[in-house]
Amino acid sequence: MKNEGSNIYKFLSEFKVTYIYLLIFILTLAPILFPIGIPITTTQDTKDYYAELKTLGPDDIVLVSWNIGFDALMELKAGAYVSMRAIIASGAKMVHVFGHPEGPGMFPLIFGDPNKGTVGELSKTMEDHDYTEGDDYIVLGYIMLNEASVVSIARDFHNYVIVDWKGAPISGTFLDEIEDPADLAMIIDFSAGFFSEAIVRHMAMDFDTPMIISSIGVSIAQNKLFVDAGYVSAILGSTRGGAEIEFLAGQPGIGLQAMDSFTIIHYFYILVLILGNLAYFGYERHRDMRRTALR
Amino acid sequence: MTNGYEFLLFILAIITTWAMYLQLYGKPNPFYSFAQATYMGASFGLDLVVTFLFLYTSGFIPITKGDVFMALGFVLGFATLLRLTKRYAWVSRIPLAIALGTGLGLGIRTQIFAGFLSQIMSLITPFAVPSDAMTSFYNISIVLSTLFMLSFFLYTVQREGPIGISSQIGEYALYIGLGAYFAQVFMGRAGLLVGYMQNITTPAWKTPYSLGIGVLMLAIVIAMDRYGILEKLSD
Amino acid sequence: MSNLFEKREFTILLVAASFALVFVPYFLDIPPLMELSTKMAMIVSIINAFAILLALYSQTKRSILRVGQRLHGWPYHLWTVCLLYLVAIVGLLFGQTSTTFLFFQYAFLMPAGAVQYSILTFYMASAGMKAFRARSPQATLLIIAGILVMLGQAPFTGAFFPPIEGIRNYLAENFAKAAAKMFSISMVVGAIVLCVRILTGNEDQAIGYTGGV
Repeated sequence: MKNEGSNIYKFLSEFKVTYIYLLIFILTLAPILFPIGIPITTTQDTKDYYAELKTLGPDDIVLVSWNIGFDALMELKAGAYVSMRAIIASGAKMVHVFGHPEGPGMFPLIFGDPNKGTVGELSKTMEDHDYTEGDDYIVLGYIMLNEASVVSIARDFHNYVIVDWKGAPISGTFLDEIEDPADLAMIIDFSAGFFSEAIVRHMAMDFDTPMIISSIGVSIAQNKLFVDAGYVSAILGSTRGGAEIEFLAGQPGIGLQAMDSFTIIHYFYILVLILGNLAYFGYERHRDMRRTALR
Repeated sequence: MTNGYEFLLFILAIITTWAMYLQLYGKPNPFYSFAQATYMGASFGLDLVVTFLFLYTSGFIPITKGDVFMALGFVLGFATLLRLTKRYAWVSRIPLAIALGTGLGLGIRTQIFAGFLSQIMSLITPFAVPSDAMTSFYNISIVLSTLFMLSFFLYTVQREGPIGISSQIGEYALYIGLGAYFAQVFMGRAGLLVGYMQNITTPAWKTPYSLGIGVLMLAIVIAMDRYGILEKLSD
Repeated sequence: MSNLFEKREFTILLVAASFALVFVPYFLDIPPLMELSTKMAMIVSIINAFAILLALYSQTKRSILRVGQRLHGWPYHLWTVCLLYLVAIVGLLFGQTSTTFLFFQYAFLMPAGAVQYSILTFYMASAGMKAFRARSPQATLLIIAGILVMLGQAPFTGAFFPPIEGIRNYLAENFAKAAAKMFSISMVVGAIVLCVRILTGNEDQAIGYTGGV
């Protein structure tokens, strides 16, 4: 029988994927447990996003739209925490809406629940700035089910939204100043691609409201189109963007800690791609050609 | 450390985590089947709750405040349920038609501006920017890339001559774009994985439980596989 | 009378009227018409929410059927439907911000949802090892572009080889964005064509006429 190719290529070709999965687990967990401290550079996108956040002041009202669930929160949480801290520090008021059913469950993890004494990631920051629910921020809940809901909120806010997520009336609060999105200083959208496009089209585009998006990796290219079109001012891209904004804001946290694993996983994947192609050119291609010749 | 309730929550979350990751084992296993069934049931239950609350706050409360027009939404909404009957199923087409027409009207107008006109207008950029060769190069590059890619999807003309060359370049440009897009998708997923791994290993007291339960569950699955009872107990 | 409402033409007319009621006010400054159009949007947001009840009926029926016939894996389907109603009852009784309701989310939904999407990393890695082959010039370009952008995404590369940021930026901004732009333009043209086809009655399936009901 003729030589089937060098053993190393055959070994790579027949390498079990289960071992690749195991390696990914090890390479992800090891840098988290034993941090390395990989340096980071910041991109223009993140600088633009942070600059937009810094324009906010105490007289501003910001719509924060959470179009993410628990899964995307794992990717965007670093950027979300820095963004929220920047808004709290500026004194701007926030109105929170959810476009994902998991939003109401996700929110207490970030802001806590003062009524129940639940502590969230930002509870300390809110305490330091005396930032309270009702006076400084209001949560309207899961009211963005579909595009028609987004249009209703944009065009007839006070007839569509009468109570907040706990049933308390919103009349008599700072939301009385809001008739339509033109009265907002900014829209900040945490996007997994659910209704972000509807918000861009029916709020940012129709009412010229400044908007920034913190986007998962899958939606970055799509959301960049809105930056080109002029409807969105800046995009914060995925985990890397979260780490960059932590660095810019001088708030090192989970984002920067994640960069060690993030880097190693990326290099591992490049290695996997190269090894897979080496296996193809060194073994599989010859094997397939031999099979064709034998027929 | 933490209190009993939060510890219980953490243990259940870890068990669910590794049960879901056990789909990587490659064979159906009872842990994954249970986790999958739990996920489906819990997420559907959650959807029900938040949707009912939405209907109450954005539908029912406005009616009680005098906006009787919203009652039409409820009437039409219940009409959609007549789809389940044979005799009156045709009634469900009425709210469907209204929803479809309204959705088209809302979507198309804004899509034409945001997804079509604005995208074309953003391509109209100066090809020669004085003293900024890089921006000039970028502007030329993106315009040509978009045009070449569009020509690749022209199926109504023969691909020969200038169109043939343009579509060939467009095909190559498209594959480069897809490669870059793929890398961004990978970044997103990898970021998600790293973010969640951080969640289950910080603070440090979580690590031994997270890893220990994972190893234990894997050992149980391997043992079940050895005794041939894995598929019997799975979905 | 019901025969009139059952007709296909009536349904198409209703679609067209709803479309016009929402579309036209943007181009004609008639405030009452704009208010009516806004009300239509609010009503439709309510109608769309009722779809969950149809999904509930479907899922319950399917699960009960499997349990009743004792098909393979029936205990899991029983568990699904029981948990569904348990979570719904708990949420409606105690509220969406109650500790009991949040328990289900933090114990089951959060980990399962996070794993469900993060597991794609593993599948992409196995695809990279077994499926991504540079068999043609196009595939080779795809792989090379992917590798360059991934190198740029890893912060360590940029710290030691700064030009990689420019390369990554160029590939992402010019090619990935150009592709997204091209898809966006094509999709909108397709959406307009589909819209016209629905409004002119050439898409029966969109309005619920599949030949049966």
